[in-house]
Amino acid sequence: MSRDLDQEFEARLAESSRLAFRVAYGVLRHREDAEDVAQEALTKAYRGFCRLRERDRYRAWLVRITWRMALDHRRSQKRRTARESVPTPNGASETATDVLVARERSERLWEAIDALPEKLRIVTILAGIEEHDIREVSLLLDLPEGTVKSRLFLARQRMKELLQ
Amino acid sequence: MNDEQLQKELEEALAIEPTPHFLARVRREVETGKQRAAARVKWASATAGLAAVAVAIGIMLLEPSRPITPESTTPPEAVVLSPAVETPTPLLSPKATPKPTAIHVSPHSAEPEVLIDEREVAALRSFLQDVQERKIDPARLEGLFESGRKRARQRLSPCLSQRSIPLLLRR
Repeated sequence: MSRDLDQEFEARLAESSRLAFRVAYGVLRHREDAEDVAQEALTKAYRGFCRLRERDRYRAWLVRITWRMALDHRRSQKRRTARESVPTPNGASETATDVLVARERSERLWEAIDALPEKLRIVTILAGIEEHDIREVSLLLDLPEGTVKSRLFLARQRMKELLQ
Repeated sequence: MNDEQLQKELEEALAIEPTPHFLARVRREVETGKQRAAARVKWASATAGLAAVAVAIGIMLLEPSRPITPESTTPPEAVVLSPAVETPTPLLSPKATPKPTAIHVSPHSAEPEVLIDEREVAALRSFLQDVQERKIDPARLEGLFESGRKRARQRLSPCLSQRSIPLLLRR
């Protein structure tokens, strides 16, 4: 890869590494596994970066790579890896009861997310990352904004039913 | 629970930061990938070169009758004599007689080639050697040539030297 491409990828790496990690974490909910998968996805993205015609589609491309790799990883690790419990917010004022309640609520939330079909799940996770709006999610998934809106609506309805 | 609360909970659940050394790890992995790719290119080049050499050696070994040296691939050269050798001028002055030299003319030479039969070359060489060794006297040879020429002239004009006899017809 040429020096220019290297520099361009380096610039994109800095701003997209967190996105890849969070997408992987949204599937795996295990920090170390998510880092491994994100690292693998970013390395793969680097290898294919010179062949990517539309550079502005890089983030969407990276999301798709990471999502698929994370799903594959989860399938292969499902039996032996226990998922990480959601980290609790640090705060001196929080009591043990608050921590337990927060943890239970998070676990229920993740169970509701896991119960969603894949099409709705990815929309929900991307909408929850870095305050992505509908337009950003539609760009990342290469879907019309209307489709994203309807899928997000359906996902929230189902999650609310499960969480009540 | 309304949409806003759900969205807020989702954002909180996904607001996980990677470890501080994550980006450095990715950069290191990318760098390692680059080095591996460069090494692969080197190995591929070396392997391709070795394969080409092996194929060339294999072809040479499988076809032993095929000429290898570039000289043997050129067409056979013709043995020719220079035109000066053909005219027997050295017969008049034996000392100055040049030796008939067979010169090797490249098939690609620009000069026209004069091809002489090997037997004629041998006969001419033998004749010149005899003249040099004085086995044949060129002066006498000249006399023989002269008498030969006279005889030839006589043979060619017999009608001019004979007298015509008139024929008489009687009735």
